[in-house]
Amino acid sequence: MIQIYTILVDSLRLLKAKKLFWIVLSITGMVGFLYASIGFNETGMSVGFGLQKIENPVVVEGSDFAKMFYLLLFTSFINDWWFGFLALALALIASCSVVPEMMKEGSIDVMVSKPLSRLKLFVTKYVGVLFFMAVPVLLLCVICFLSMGIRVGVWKWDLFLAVPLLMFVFSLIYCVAVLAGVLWKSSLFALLSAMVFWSMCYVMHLAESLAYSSYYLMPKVGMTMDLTRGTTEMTGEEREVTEEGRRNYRLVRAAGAPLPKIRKATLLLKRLVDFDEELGPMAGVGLISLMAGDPPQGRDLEVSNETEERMSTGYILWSSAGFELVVLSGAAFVFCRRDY
Amino acid sequence: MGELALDISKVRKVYSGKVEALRGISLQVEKGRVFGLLGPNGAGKSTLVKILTTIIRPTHCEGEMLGKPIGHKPTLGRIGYLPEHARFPDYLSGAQVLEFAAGLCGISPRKCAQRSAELMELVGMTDWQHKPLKTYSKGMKQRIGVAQALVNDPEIVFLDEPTDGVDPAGRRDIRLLMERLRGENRTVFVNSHLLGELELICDDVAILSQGAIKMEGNLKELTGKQTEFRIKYEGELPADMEPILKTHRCRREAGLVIAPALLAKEVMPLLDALRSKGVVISGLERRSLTLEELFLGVVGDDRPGAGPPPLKGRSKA
Repeated sequence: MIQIYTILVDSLRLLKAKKLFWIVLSITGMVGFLYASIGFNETGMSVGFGLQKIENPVVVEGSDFAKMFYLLLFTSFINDWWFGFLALALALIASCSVVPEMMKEGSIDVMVSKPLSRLKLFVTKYVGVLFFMAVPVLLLCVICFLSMGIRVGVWKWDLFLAVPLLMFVFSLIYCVAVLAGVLWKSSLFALLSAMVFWSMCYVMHLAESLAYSSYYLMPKVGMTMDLTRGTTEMTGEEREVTEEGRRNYRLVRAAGAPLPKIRKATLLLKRLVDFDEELGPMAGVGLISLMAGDPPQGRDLEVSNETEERMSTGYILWSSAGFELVVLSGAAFVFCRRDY
Repeated sequence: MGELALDISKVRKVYSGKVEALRGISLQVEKGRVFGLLGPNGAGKSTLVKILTTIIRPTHCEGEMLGKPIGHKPTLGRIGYLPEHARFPDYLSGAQVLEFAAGLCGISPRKCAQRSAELMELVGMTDWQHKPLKTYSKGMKQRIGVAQALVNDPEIVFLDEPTDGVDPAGRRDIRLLMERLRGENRTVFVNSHLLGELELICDDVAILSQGAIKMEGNLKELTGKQTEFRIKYEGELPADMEPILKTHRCRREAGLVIAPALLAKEVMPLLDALRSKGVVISGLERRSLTLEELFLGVVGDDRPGAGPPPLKGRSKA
């Protein structure tokens, strides 16, 4: 236990020494401050502790929409965009050099010559680096949790699910950086590999989403698209999904099956936060439609929910974890077998 | 021979590319001794130490260290190691480096704190221990490296080029430290190019070249086996002295005749011959071989970095 504690403490010290970490933490603090500054009144909402008033007929003080807005701002904006892209990229840039630096001659020798197994060293170091993501997420979760409780009276402990979830999302990309770092001992290669891989996964996510929209969503909401003329038509009449559509979608989905579902795992937070308890089944409601005062209802809400849940939580998490396990096992094997 | 700290045999390391870095090394090191491993660059010194400290996997290795097979991880808790070109993270202070090294050995921070203070005192870094490493000179980092190698109170300490980048006062301190370790019945295994320094401290040495041990034994015995008498004379030597000098296998340097001999009585005929030719002898000195002379005599023309030729038709590591 002392050995694990030592490596984790060292990871925290490394974290403290990285300027990028403090930049991420500062921006996260600012985002939290902005979030906490949002309030509601009878005519709408205010930002900056009342400095800027925004009128909205739906999102008003005491309404379920106000509660929903506060929740969605966290689950669909802060989580999906700040943590899901920017903070993730900054954490990756800050941490991708950890393994190559550790493996440099003179540094690895000291660690490997101590009475702890290489596997324990590797895994603990890997887990320690995940603090890069966990600390800012935890900070924002605390700010948002308190703000939500004080502002709208909703004490959502589920928000803290963002910490393990975003650590997991970060680890899905970081494991590729680790493998590259172990193989080539180069920080630049590790970063490039992770970024290229992340982009590839994102493209796959977009392709799958597009295929689902074309072959499933559009028939369900009665929309047709003419690709030759570039026009869409809304008939409002639900159509059956064609066999060809099913086959094409299955092909696209199968192509992305071995890859981790990085974006989908990020978006999972909205599904994991229990909306039913306070607000009814509004999992399919988006922030924009809510602000417009026109949240989907009836069949539209049903379709919206079906779209969000086209892949089960288990499938997204387990298939991604499987990928991570394979990549990490490969990296650990090389790390443990290598001569330094 | 007393109790052995290290007893290895047939240690081989063949790297991919069929470069044979070590070719069946056998070595015994007694407890409580300072053992020097010498050799030109690329001879395999660091490879051997790295095998003993599990950093490199041997192709073949038999034997024990502190009574346990080589590669036995828990035994590493009883050894200390300072690698060549040791690097520690710049964000740590000297004291934190020691805490980190101790923690990896399973020593709690509380226990480490006391030991750390002693070691900082020992390596002369007490005033600097809480400052970050990035403010240290190379020599100071090396002192911290030595301290971290001792943090677990080791029975064997492997020091790979411990005086690299250290000033003369620091070198003396490290030498005194090695003497102290020997006094505490610890074994010190030191690799260094600075033969003059090793000569001052080592009890035993092994000379490694091209992956094989060329000579090993007690340093005093090795150097003492080969002595010479340096006869200092005034003026010129008569031309007819040459055949006599050849007979006695002598060589000449400016104002000196150097005769290889173990005992003084062996050079008496030569002295008589010189005197009979009217040569004025102004001095006579008996001198053992220096470690450097011994080393150069053993290593000969082995070029630095010239490892053994690649293997043909043998299996990879």
